Amino acid sequence: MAVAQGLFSVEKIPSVPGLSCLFCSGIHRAVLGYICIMHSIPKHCLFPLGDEALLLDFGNVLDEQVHARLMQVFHWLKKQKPLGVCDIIPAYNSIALAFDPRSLFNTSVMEKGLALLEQAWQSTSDTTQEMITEPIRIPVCYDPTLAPDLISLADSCGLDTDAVISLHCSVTYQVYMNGFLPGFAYMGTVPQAIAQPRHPTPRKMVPRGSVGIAGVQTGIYPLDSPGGWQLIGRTPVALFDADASEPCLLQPGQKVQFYPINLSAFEAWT
Amino acid sequence: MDLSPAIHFIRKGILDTLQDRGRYGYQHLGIAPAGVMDRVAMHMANALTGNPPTTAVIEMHFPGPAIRFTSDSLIALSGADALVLLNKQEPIPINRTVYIQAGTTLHIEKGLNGQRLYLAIRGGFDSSGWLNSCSTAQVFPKGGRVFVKNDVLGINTPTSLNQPNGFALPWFVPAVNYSNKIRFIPGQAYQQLTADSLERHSETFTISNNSNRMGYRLNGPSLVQRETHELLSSAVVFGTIQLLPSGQLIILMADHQTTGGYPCLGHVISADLPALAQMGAGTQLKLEPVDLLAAKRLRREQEKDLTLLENAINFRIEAFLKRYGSETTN
Repeated sequence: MAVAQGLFSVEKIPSVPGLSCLFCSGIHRAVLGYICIMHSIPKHCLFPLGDEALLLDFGNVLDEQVHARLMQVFHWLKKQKPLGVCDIIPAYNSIALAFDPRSLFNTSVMEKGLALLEQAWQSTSDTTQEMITEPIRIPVCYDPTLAPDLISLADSCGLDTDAVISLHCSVTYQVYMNGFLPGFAYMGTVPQAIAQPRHPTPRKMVPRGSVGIAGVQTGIYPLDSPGGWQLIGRTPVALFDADASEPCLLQPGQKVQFYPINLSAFEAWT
Repeated sequence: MDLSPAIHFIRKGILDTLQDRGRYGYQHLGIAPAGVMDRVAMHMANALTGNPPTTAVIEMHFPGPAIRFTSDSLIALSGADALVLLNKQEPIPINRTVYIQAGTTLHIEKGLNGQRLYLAIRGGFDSSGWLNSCSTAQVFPKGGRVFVKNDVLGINTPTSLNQPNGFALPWFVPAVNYSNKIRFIPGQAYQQLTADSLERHSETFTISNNSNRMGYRLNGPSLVQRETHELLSSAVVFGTIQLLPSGQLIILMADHQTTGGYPCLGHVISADLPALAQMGAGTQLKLEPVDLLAAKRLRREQEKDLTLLENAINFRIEAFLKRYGSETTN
């Protein structure tokens, strides 16, 4: 098994798309655990994204605890609404701050960004309790007429479709980040037995509400869109409503559970 | 016929949208900011009409639209150099404050140099937007507008002057001359380039046909990292230079998605984004790494110049209107 080559280096892992996060050696666990109790931000984890944004990046191995720590920073910053910050973007193992250039007049993106992140990090260091959130329960119809990849995915996994559905519904997923489309939540972690890579060539049209798998990630398309994920079901629930006060149902940090509904329930859903 | 103060799209251009600085504050939800490709042109056009710098403008590509004005208006065009005709007769200048009388049609006839032309109107356009912005994202255009034939867009402040139609107010703004040197802040993948790739990345790249508001695909030397890994997705920005598995580069532009999973060679400095925005398929460019200090200095110089311009023109417009004009606010 590969050995970590330095405190935050990237472990050499088989490059099966989406499976990298599973191969987390004991050494890496200790390292990632250390991040959570660190007193201040390690400067070599800070990267400018041009001269108007900054990224705090903890590397390439996914860890729930590190993500939870980043979410604390995210929530603290969102609440503080620091002047000049126009966006705060959490992801799997990172958080980015985007600045209004006018607020950088007398300072630099690294200076201002580091100061804010440092403040957020230290202000949240005592928050030992993870924010308990009720999982959002999302109904999914796993009928093959709505799920063009369900049968082929089951075949590839050597399972029957009932087992696939059961496994997909067996986990409480974490929303790690949103991206790609308004309200598209990247959720993990899909059970290994059904973690199939995305299609090499994306479909030109994936209908809104389609539930997909890409490696250990699962997600729901909030809009009709091109897409390459393995489509195993469809939800009648709206993931995105532009006119609502909260336009996106799913946001980073939330927990999600899926439960199966049949075709008639799907069609009757209001 | 509706004669409330507005512009009417008599002829559709290939891509004309309403844009401002962008829809910020929601990227954590996956809502992409969009916004103008060329911020300097937006500032200049707004400065020339006495508008606040980030007032929404119409971003036009070539072939351009034909636009009819139902009321007297004070307008400005900035960005690309183009042939713009007043009532299909005389050309009106770019980078000037121009008076347009009610009933006039402007034809954006031909692009001469550059890819994007911006139209600002004094007082701005009547648009309520979405989430505090009128920008138009390709993937979900709510809050913005994609203009087609017969579309109508209200204007807020008809401005009448005691001057002939097409009169260019007596001040000049120098056209901006951009070089083909695109400077960038190195990203994580830059440190990982092989020695050979480190040399080759400063060679000439050409913007391919597969380029638009979302991103420019570059044709050029193939770049390779010493080690490649499957990356976890993270936030990207306007100007992020991604290194694809094929060894080719793609520069994310205004309509970029909020996150990406490809290695980042670096990120174009904000001062060079307007130059990049005016490049199109076939344009050649060279990439040059610079540090944050240089990027900041260049951005501040640009901002300073724009602010001086704004102040100078504002003063002149107020004086001119006092003497020659009248405005009614909607």
